Amino acid sequence: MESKVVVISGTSKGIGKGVAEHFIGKGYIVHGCSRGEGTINHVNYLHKKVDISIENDVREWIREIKKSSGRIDILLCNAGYAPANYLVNMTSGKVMNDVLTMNVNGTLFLCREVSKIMMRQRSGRIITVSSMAQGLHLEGTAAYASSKAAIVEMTKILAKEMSQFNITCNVIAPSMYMTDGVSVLGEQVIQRALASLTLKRQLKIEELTNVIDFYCAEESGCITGQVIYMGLVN
Amino acid sequence: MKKKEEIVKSICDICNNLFDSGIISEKVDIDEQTVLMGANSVFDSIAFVTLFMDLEEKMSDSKGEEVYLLIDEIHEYNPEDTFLTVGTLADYIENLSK
Repeated sequence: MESKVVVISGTSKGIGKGVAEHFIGKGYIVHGCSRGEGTINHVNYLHKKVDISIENDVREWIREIKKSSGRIDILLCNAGYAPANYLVNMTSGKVMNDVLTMNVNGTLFLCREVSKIMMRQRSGRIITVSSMAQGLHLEGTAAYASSKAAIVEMTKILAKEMSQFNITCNVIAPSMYMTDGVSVLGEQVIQRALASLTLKRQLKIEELTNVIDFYCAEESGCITGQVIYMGLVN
Repeated sequence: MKKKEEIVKSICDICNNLFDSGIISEKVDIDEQTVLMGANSVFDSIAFVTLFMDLEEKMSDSKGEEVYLLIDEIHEYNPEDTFLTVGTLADYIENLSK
């Protein structure tokens, strides 16, 4: 049987790297990207240096994948940017623009280019990544949480637009998984965030991949436009 | 791919392929007035997206560099048009080649 083809952004570390390794372990072909060099060395892993906030870079990358692999079965829009914390009245336009450009535009560019390929093959699974920050309303996270809320809304709209093509679009909203993006929030914010969750602990990668596998399963064809928050927000 | 007539012919060839592969259910007689997007278009969203992807691929092969057709740029190129026709698209592509 032909291997499934997975596209994941932000695979050099953190969640993206963990999910990429999970799919490689299942025998899938994984195309990953990051702004730097790849950190996974496997025959089924193909890395490309891509800044997903640059429209043309994403177009070229996805076109290359189409040429080399012929199809895309799963897209995980994982790459994102979390700035240092600022109260709203200290948040500059530049910080807001940087976060929205990377998180919202980057997700848009990936979804747009990959969904065109999936439309043609009339199948696919698109998964975007939001965050617990969206539900916690923590002081200092206005830019980041706004971007993650935008991703949820965009994914729900995409789910409607893609429904007739057998393409599902869902969101995973991890609670605390210690990445560079989370650690930059600072110990105080991290402890407050953990305290406001029902499950007051960090996630394991296998807990994340379990949800991703659920979204990607053949039997999940009717699961679309959904958000799974991992760690109930009180 | 430079002249408008050649571009229209390419669009016509792609449409024939779309019909042969079952992506569009009716054979379309393409001319410059054929509406690609807007009221009375015979193209649904998948046919439209596929047409654009095939056209980009054909142009990229022809030029030896990656070519992208951007719908907002096409609209800005001819903002008076409320519909996207084969003629408007061909004009835009011809202008890209210059």
